[in-house]
This record gives sequence, structure tokens and C-alpha cells, in this order.
Amino acid sequence: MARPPHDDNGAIHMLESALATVLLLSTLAYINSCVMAPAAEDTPDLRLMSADITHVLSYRSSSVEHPNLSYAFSSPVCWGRSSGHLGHDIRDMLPHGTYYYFSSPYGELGDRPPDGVGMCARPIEIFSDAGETIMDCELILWRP
Amino acid sequence: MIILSAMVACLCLIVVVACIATVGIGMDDGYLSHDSIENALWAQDCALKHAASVSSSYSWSDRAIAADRFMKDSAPALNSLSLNLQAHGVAYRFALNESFAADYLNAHPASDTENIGGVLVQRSGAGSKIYGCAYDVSMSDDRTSYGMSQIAMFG
Repeated sequence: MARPPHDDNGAIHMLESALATVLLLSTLAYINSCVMAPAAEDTPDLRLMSADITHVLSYRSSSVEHPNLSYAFSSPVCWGRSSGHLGHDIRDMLPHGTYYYFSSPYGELGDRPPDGVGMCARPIEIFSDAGETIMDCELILWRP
Repeated sequence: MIILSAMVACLCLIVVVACIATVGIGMDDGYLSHDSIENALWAQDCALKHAASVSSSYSWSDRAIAADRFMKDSAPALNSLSLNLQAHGVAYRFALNESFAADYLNAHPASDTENIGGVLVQRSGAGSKIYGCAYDVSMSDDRTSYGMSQIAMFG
């Protein structure tokens, strides 16, 4: 009686299955291992504080010790002269344990927030006399 | 065939995860709020006030040139505001409103005051002064729309 021809299909299928399993498990492991940065919590009180600070700095009258935004951004020279005072005033308006970071085309003030802290980022539009343009700035309030 | 099926399954998994991540990003609040609108209008009015101050050195006979200078000087700042707001997903539109300015002058008649294309020009001795303008402004994002007509006075 002739022996049936040797059938290797089963072994090939098993190999395919093993490779497919490895592929699927690898994909699942990669998706699971992706570091999802925790969403920064935009707390309502930080939002209110940043709105109040923006309002005060926009509309108050300007002096050397307490410049308003219009004066500070009227030129790069005025920014250099008054940014320190501006930063000091923002810090004074914040409660203990709350920090700020202000960024603008003329420069930055305060401390950049680390990852994962609760924060509120508020874009602020400010007119600059020197460039006759309106600049996009940002005030971030954060707390660890 | 089995490997092909596994590859298709992996691709579907990745697409599903990417969609979920995108939906999460899209749930953020829109840019427009009472405070952001107020800030944009404040910056806009600062630009208009500055343009009025540099356009007020013309004689009364050149008042049309003064009004034209005001419109040209305010345009770069308003364009930059439009671009900044566009980057935040907000459509911003500004236009002078001549008929609104005319209504204002009819309600508040004053001698030696003219409305030139929505720009209010007043005689100041032998010269002319840009003392206001009437405009329409609108801002809108995915969730909020805002629009108003205003007479801005520059003092």
C-alpha cells in the first residue's frame, strides 16, 4: 500500500498562526504602552484669575512701576524697561502656590509649567505701536 | 491568509485608537468667550485709536486723504488680528459702516463734521481730526458667534 504524500500544510498554517498572534500581541502591547499625558485640568478658578489679571493689565492707567499692557508692548524698548515690573505685578495678583508664565513675541516672563500640572492658558491679543501690528501672546496660570 | 487577516486586524485597531484620540482632542472648549471677545475688541480699538492719531495731521481740505490714511494705517493691525484669531479657530471680520456713521451724525449733528466712508472727521482749526468711526465686527468659531455695530470715539 502506497504511503500518502507528506502534507506540510498543517505546519505552515501553524507557523502563520504563531506569527499572526505575535503580530497582534505586539500591536496591542504598543498601543497599551503609549504614554498618554494626563489632560491638563483647566480649573475654573485659574480661568477666572487669568481673566481678571488680563482685564486689570489692559485697562489700568500706566506708570513706571505699574505699566499696563499697552505701554509695555508699545515698543521693544518699553518692553525691556517695563517687563520686570509687569511680571512683578502679575506675581502679586496671584495667591500663594499659583504660578504664571507669560509668552510674547518680545519675550517671556515667569516659570514655564511642567507636564501634568493643572493650568489655564489664555491667549491675549495686544497692539504694538512700534510694529503697528497686533501680537498674539499667552498667559498661563498653573499650580503644581 | 492568516497573516494577512492579522495585519488587517492590527490596522483596524490602530485606526480605531487614532479616532478615539482625535475625538478626545476635539472636545476642547472653543476660543470665544466673553473675556476673549472683550480682549480682541480692546486690541482692535487700540489699533484704531493709534491709526486715528497718526492720521490727524492733514488740513481740512485734505480730510478725504486723512480718512483714507486712517483706513490704510489700521489695516495691517486688523489683518494681524484676523490671522491671530484664525490660528485659534476664530473667523474675524471688520468693516467700516458708512450708513451707521451717517445715522450717528443725523442723531448728533455737529458743525464741521463729516462722514467719509464710515470715518468721522472733524475740523480742528485749519486741520482735520479723525475723531471716530462706525464699524461692523463679527467673530465666530465652532460654537459661538458674535457680532455688533459700534461707533468708536477716539477723543
